[in-house]
Amino acid sequence: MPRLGVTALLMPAVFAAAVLPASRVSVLVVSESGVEAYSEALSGIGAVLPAGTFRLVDVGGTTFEHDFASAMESNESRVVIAVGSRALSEVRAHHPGTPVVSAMVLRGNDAEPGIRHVDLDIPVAAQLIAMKSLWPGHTRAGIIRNPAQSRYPAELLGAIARKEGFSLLVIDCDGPAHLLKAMGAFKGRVDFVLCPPDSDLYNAVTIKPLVLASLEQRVPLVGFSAAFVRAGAAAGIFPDYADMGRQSAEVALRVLRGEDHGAPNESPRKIQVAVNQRVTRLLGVEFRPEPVAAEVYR
Amino acid sequence: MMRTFRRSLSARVLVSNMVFAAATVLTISALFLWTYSRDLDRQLASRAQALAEFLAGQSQFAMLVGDRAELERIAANAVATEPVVFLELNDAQGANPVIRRGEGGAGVPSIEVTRKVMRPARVGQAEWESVAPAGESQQLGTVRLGFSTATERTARLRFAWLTALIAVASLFLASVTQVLKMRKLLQPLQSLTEFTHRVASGDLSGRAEIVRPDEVGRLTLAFNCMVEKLGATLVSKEAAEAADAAKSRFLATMSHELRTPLNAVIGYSQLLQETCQDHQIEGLTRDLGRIERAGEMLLQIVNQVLDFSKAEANEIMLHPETFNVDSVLREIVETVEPMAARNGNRVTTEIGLDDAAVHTDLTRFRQSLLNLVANACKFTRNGDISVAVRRERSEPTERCEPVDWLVVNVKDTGIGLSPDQQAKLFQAFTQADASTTRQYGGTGLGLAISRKMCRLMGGDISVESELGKGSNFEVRLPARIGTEK
Repeated sequence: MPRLGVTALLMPAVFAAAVLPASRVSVLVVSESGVEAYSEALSGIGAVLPAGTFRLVDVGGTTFEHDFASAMESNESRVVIAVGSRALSEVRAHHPGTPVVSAMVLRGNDAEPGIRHVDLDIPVAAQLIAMKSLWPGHTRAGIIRNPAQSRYPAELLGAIARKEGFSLLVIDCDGPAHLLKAMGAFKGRVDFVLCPPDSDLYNAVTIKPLVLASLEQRVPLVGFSAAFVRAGAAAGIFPDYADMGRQSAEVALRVLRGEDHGAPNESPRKIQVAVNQRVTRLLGVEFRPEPVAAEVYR
Repeated sequence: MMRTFRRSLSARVLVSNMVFAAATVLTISALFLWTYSRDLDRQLASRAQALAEFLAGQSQFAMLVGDRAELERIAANAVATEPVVFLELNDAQGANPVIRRGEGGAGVPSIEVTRKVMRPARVGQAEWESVAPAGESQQLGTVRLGFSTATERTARLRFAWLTALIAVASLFLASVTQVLKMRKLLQPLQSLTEFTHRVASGDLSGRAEIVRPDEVGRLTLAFNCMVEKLGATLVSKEAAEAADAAKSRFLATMSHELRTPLNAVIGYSQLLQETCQDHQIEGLTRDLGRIERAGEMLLQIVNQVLDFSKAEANEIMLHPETFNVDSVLREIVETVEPMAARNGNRVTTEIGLDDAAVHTDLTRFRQSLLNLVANACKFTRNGDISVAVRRERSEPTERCEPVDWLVVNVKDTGIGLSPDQQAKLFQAFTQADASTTRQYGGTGLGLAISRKMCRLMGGDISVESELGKGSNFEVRLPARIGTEK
């Protein structure tokens, strides 16, 4: 919550860059206003890029087409940072011809030329490590995923888990209609269930029955956002969005300097953990938030 | 105003009906209003309860997992609806309550409903108790809802005004109808009143018109009959009064005309007796005495007839004066002594007076008492006649001051009276029976005149008697008739 306040304070400064003279602008930031996580990411971008070196264009604004076109025609924007999936698709649609860094996008396409992804996905290994710190001794993990949306096969995920000392039960679920059935399959077989970001499976409609099912089966859910934790997940593991902004800005600077030889996809460097203490009490489990500096919702 | 009201039957009936109508309309209006308000309150409470119940259900999960954002969303959505003035979602587990107020909520009249938010009884197929921590309260929190009553208040006010308007209109229509109806109903009475005035002024020739065969019609018919009979009675009365006046005039004239020659007969018979005595003419004195006594008897009869006719015509004037009763009584006893002696009677007096002075008409008092004592002497043979005088003081009442009464009892041991005889004793020209008249003589006017005199003086005469054992006549007169007046 305090981070929101900081973001709000930074936002005017960030958007003020949009009116700076085009002569010094070398990075064009395309984002969508009104999304809390994007605002945090923008604050991170603003913290890394020197003042006056970037320009912000709101993809939801009425003058987006004009602003974007004029920014690209001036040939001053040598890198584009697209914040969010909508901004990325708009940038793709305009074929800017300059390198693009995408941030805050799930499952970026590895094979897409000219685009560097700072991925929103937290690797399973990182999640399991966080869980090991949060709830030591509970190594039976489960995951509900839509196979069509998943980047990795189940076997690979299992191998990654085993490497971290966990067993991983992967249940495929191709839609929200089968979500509870999938949840039921975990009863007595796993200690917790990871919920990867998937707006089809996990949304405002499905969360309540899912949380009730987890309470009934005494299987904690591990969500992918703070909002998910507030809505009833026992814990949440999610990226630090401001750091993601910083990370994407650093990638853009590397590209500008011609030093970018890394992988096209980068995972979040810094994650955050949150715990819903009320739900853990209902479940009868006790997490240790201290080692991972988890935010605790009471 | 009040005088008109008291004097007008239509006004009184109208006011009475209107008061009744107003009370009825007010009662019905109040009943309607009360019923409407009660239904409105019930509906309002029901809606508020239902909404609170709904919000409690909505908040249940958010309170269960501590989702404050969801609670904020629920509250914001709730206060966005018109009837919700405020919503307070209290989390029993210590978090600050979520409070949202609707626009302009402070001044809006509202009712407050509170609902507990309980843990869900079942989660999926399992009993909740199996997952609820032991000893933890089953209450998750409360929903406190302020539900606007503004719409209902407006509706209630509108309904009250409408009811009042209808009530006033109803009363107005009722009053107009009443006035018209009363006028129509009372019109025959008005005609009858006018006819009555004509009758009162002496015009008995016409008849009231019968408009309808209802109660007023029957009254008019009866009135017409009465007027007809009144006309006939008036004719008879006038004839009777004329005859009575003629009789009284005749009696007075005759009495007066008879007394003059009678006085002459008595006077000359006395003069002749004296002349015979002076000239020592024997043989005529006895006859002249008989003429004188017969004349005196005749004069007495004439005087009685004259008194009675004056009394009948209310022409007797009283002349009150103060005198001693005992002296009058002694005088009367002395007067009747010879008659008593002739019949072998003994006359005694009993005067129980501390104050013998009375204030009344001496002549009429003496006349009445003398008549009673003389009668006692006349109808008693070899018996006792007692005359007792006493004073009595009547008890004061609410209307009357205490009165001093002079009571004279004339008792005899004579022939007495039967109840039938007592009933007609004080009627004029009536004695106990025909044989009494034959045996004892007299006009039968004495007691009638005596009673009239006593009544004129404010008193009366009564009698107690038993046939063959004697009589007791009681004269009761105010001791001071001047004071009475």
